[in-house]
This record gives sequence, C-alpha cells and structure tokens, in this order.
Amino acid sequence: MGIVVCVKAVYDPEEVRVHKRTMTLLIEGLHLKLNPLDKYAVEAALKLKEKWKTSVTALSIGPEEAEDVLRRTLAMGVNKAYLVTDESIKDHDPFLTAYLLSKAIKKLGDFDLVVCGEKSIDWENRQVGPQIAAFLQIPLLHRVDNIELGNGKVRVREVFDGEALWVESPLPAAITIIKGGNKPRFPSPWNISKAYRKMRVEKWGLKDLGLSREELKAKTVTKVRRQFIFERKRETKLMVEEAEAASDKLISHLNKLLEEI
Amino acid sequence: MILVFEFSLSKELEFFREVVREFAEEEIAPIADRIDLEERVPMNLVKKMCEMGLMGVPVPEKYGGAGLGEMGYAVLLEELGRVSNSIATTVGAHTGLVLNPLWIFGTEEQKEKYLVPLARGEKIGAFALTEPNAGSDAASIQTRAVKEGDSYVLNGTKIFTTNGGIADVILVFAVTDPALGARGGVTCFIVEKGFPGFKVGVEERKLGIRGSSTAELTFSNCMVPKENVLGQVGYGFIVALTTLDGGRGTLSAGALGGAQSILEEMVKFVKFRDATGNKISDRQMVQWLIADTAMEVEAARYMVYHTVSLIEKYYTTLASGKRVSRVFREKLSRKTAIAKAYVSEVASRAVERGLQLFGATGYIEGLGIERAYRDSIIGEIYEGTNEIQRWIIARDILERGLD
Ligand SMILES: Cc1cc2nc3c(=O)[nH]c(=O)nc-3n(C[C@H](O)[C@H](O)[C@H](O)COP(=O)(O)OP(=O)(O)OC[C@H]3O[C@@H](n4cnc5c(N)ncnc54)[C@H](O)[C@@H]3O)c2cc1C
Repeated sequence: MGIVVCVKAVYDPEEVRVHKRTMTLLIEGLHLKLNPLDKYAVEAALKLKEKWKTSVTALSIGPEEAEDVLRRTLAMGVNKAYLVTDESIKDHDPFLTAYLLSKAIKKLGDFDLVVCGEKSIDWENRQVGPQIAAFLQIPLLHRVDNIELGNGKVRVREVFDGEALWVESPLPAAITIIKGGNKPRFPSPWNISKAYRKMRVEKWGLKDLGLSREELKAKTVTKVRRQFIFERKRETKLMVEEAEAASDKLISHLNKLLEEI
Repeated sequence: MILVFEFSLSKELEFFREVVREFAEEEIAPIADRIDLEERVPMNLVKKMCEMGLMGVPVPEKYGGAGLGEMGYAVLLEELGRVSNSIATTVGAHTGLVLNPLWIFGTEEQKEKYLVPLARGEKIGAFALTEPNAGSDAASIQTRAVKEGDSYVLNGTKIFTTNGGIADVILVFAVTDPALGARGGVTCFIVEKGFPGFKVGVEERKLGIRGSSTAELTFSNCMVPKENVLGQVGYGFIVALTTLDGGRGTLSAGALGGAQSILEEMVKFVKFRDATGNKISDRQMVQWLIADTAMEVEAARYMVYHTVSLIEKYYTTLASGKRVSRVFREKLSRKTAIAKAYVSEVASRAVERGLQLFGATGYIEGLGIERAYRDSIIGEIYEGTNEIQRWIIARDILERGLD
C-alpha cells in the first residue's frame, strides 16, 4: 500500500507583482510556498497513512528551491520526498507536468493512490490531476473532500456545484482534492527540525526518468498567445432578434472577443 | 569596532515562523480579547500549544525540545507577541526563565526528571525571584533555606511570579547563607508544586497581560530534597543573572511582535478611514506617525535578532560545559539590556501613536488597540525595569568603554 502526493511550489499571487510592460512576474525576494490546496492533499494522504498504516511519498517538479517545499511536507509527516529538477525543465505546461509526474510515479514503483490538489494557486489550470490519471491509465476521482479505503477499494466524496456524490473505485486511482474535511495540520517544531536536519529530499534529473530534451519539447502542447492583465469589466449587450439569429450573433461576438486575446 | 552581521533566518526558521503565524492567527487572535476579559490563563489553548511542541522550542531534541535554539524561540515569541502578550509572557516565563537554566545548570538526572517533561509540554514552569522587599534589588531576598539532613527547608514568600498559578515546577531562589548574601549565599531550588509546605497565594489583578498568571507563592517549612539544588549551593545568583541576561533579550522579541502588530493595524486603518474630506493617510502628519513607527520597528527587529544570535552562542557554550569569557558575558549583558529597554519602549511608543491615530475606535474595547496599550507597558517593567537596564548599560559603558 502506498500513496503518492503530488505537490507544487508556488509563489503567492498576493505577493507577486506583474511588470506592466513585459508581463513578467516580479518575484525577487519572494519565497516559494507549498500550494495551499496541496496542503490539503498532503493532509488527506496523512490521514489515510495513520488509519491504514500505509506510507506517503511526496513528489514535485520544480526548481532546486522547491526542495524547501518538500521539506515542509516531510515536517507534516510524509515519509519520503522526491524532487524532479533539471536545467532543461524550465517552463512546464500542465501536459508536460503531468507526463513527467506520471513517469516519476512509475519509477517510484507500486502505488495505490495518487493524490493531488485540484488546482494550483498560481495558474489555476486544473489539468494536472486528470492528466496524470490519463497517463497512468487509472480511474480519476475528481474534486474530492473525503476519502475512505477498504477491501482493495477507495470510496470518495466528490463535490460539484455544492452537490456531493459518494463514488467507489478500484485501486490504483488518482484523486484531486478540494478544501473541506482535510484542514492541514500544524507541523510541530519537533517535526520541523527533523525534516530539515535529518531527512533527505531525493532529487531526480531528466536522465533518471529516462527522458531526453526532445521528448520534453514534444510533450509541451500549450501555446501562450498573449499575456495580459485581466481587468474585470462588465458589459451588457442586448441582442434583440429571433432566437436563432441571436445565438448566431452571440457566437460570432464571442469569437471576436476570443480573437482579441 | 568589529561588526559581524549575518541576518538571514534559516529556511527551517522561516517555515517555523509561517507555521506559528498561521497557528497564532487561527487559534489565538480570534480569542485574544476574550482571554484578556476573562483574566485567566486559557488552559485549553495552553494545552494545545503544549501538545504542538511550542513549549520546548529552544531546547535540544535530546531533552525533549525541538532544538530550534534561541533564534527559534525568538521567532516564536515575536509571532505570539504579535497577537497576544499574555500568551507570549506565559510561554516566555516557562521557556526563557525555566527551561534554559535547567538546560544550562541542571545535572543529567535533573534534566531527565524536569527538563524533559517541561520541554515536551507535559509540565509548566515558573521562576520565583521577586519578593515584597526585593524587586530591582534582588540581592535583598529573604526567603530562607536551611539544610536539615538530606533536605532543605524553605520559608518565605515570593510575589509576582508569572505562571505561579499554573506551574508544576518552580525555580525558587532562597538564602542559604545570610552572611554571604548575593555573593555566594543564595541558592536556586527546583520545587514541585506537590512538595509539602508549598502554596499558591493570591493571583494579582493587573493593568495588562491579564490572560497570564501572576501569583504569590508561599513556602512554610517546604521540604526540598538536596538533589534539587540547581547549579551549586551558593550559586543562585549566577543562575538568576545568567537566566535574566539572556531571557530579557529574547523577551524583547515579544515586544517586537507587539509593535509590529500595531504598525500593521495603523497601516490598514489610515488607508480606509476618511475624515474631513480625505483618507487620513493623505495627511503628512499621519504619514509621519507611520514612518516613525516603521523606522523604530525596523531598528528593533535587527537589534533583537542580532542580540538573540549572541544569546544563542552564549547558552550553547555554557550548556556544553565550556567557559565563556568575562568580556563576552559583559558585552552580552549590555546588549540584552539595550534590546530589552529599547524594544519595549518602541512597542509602547507604537501603541501610543496607534491609539491617537485610531481615535475613539482604538480607545474602546474590541479592536485590540486598548488591550495592546495596556499589554505593552509590562515590557518596561518585568525582567528588570528599564531604569535598571539603563543602569546596566551605562555602568558597562563607563567601566569598559564604548566598544
Ligand atoms: C506581570 C508581572 C510579572 C512578573 N513576573 C515575574 C516572575 O516571573 N518572576 C519574578 O521573579 N519576578 C516577576 N515580576 C517582578 C518584576 O521583575 C519586578 O516587578 C521588577 O523587577 C521591578 O521590581 P519592583 O516592582 O519591586 O520595583 P522596585 O524595585 O521597587 O522599583 C520601583 C521603581 O524604582 C526604580 N528603581 C529601583 N532601583 C533603581 C535604581 N537602582 N536606579 C534607578 N531606578 C531604580 C524602578 O525602576 C522602578 O521605577 C513580575 C512583575 C510583574 C508586574
């Protein structure tokens, strides 16, 4: 029995400022933090660990400094931590991230559950969890706030638009976590010093995953067309026509807006 | 003059700060006013803090602590002081005034028996030096300890003991040889609350830090086994001064937290409050109050952590059984006196400005400003009044020179 939690080191959007002209993020002097929802994911995994005597491994892809964030998961009670870090992995879009994570998870060996936060606070793409499930070809349990294990199965509560649904799945499975029942624990100072002084964060490069730079390129599918600061504007447009004509008009209007992006 | 400065906290301590801040914001800040109103130590909260490991932060792992040193302890006090000086004081007396002397002066048996459970948060400690006739002039204490067989018999009264009402273990200073007085005639004893003849007397009602216990302790033929002498017989003043020399330095981190929180509140308030047609933050007069406070808080923060890094060096050296040069000790004593007096006054000035700025909103109960006003003043009194600190500073400068 083993649980892998995928966590991301992020900058806090509240602290990051954006350069208005170049659209680059001004992150000098800021520290990477553990993505808030990933804290809930770690907590969910730790609860399972305590109840079902399994082991929890934290896994992240990111720059060298992300090591600190993995130490924070160790302080919370995770057994082992791995960081995939490589000069050539700079900008990883969700697709590549999920691909690399699934490669790393396979390399870790047998597992029963992969647990992720539903989204990261920086880009909010919400794609990595589902894509990991696809790459690993295992069931996806999405937007979960409650997990139970037993008889080789997992039962979870999925929440959509305030409606909750209990779902059962065979193992292994992937789970994305939302806020709710898993309020992250406060790591004790005892565990903090243990995590920082006595425990290791294992680091893997591209080679360790058996990948080449070309493959990285091939797995990067996101194209950034333009970056801009979103200004919340409310606009009312009345289309007073027959329903069909109105919907055509609406579609072409939306397409125009899309092109402006 | 040699200046050696290294000011960054380790990643470990930065994380620790984040954790304590979250804990303080979630668990303490919402009830800080209630703690003050109820005028007693919030034992549920204290229990939570004990379980979480916040009661043994500086002590090495070997003795039940987290091993985060004096720097870690200062981070803790700053964050606690930011939300409640009552709580910072309770933790401060336990940690700075009890754990540290046990760690530095205790025998292995004493550490096993007392330091470990205290650092694990299974027990609470208090430090009883002050008496009705001995405040600033601690050398005039009259509590007497007379040897009888394998025990000492203690008689006397201690007052103003922080944690007095909740402590399981109390360090008590008593005269073993009246002829020698402070120079070899005072001894420190480890007293358990269950020892016969020990009693907790009145709990003081106070201007501020009302959620901390300040109690009178009485000893009438209180029997203390001789193994419970901390340090050596006649060593009491060395134990007390070593403790206070460091303790008042780290304690200033609590005052720093208090000043920081007022500054934060001031900034929030002036940006939002309109008066006479403008945001009050548009007024230069108001901006200067903020600038002055920011300048002092900045200076205080560097002073605190610089001083605490020296205390850490001092205590780890002593605890490892090595000697510390007299020059270093005197320099440390001056520096901690400077930090204690300066930072406590920065906190008081900050809150005075804050109160004026907030107007009636700050004067009434509920926003924490009037509480902070009452809570900040104690920093200028306990662990040696600021007059005594100035005396230490000036004496050292005049005797040893400025460097
Ligand atoms: C809330 C609280 C908690 C406390 N906790 C503890 C504790 O845990 N353990 C403990 O042992 N004690 C504790 N104390 C006692 C505290 O340390 C003393 O109150 C303090 O040292 C001052 O002593 P005093 O009150 O007797 O004032 P006094 O010594 O009587 O001083 C009165 C005034 O004279 C001034 N003065 C005295 N001597 C000089 C001098 N030589 N030069 C110039 N001015 C001088 C003082 O600065 C002060 O302004 C606590 C006190 C309070 C209020």
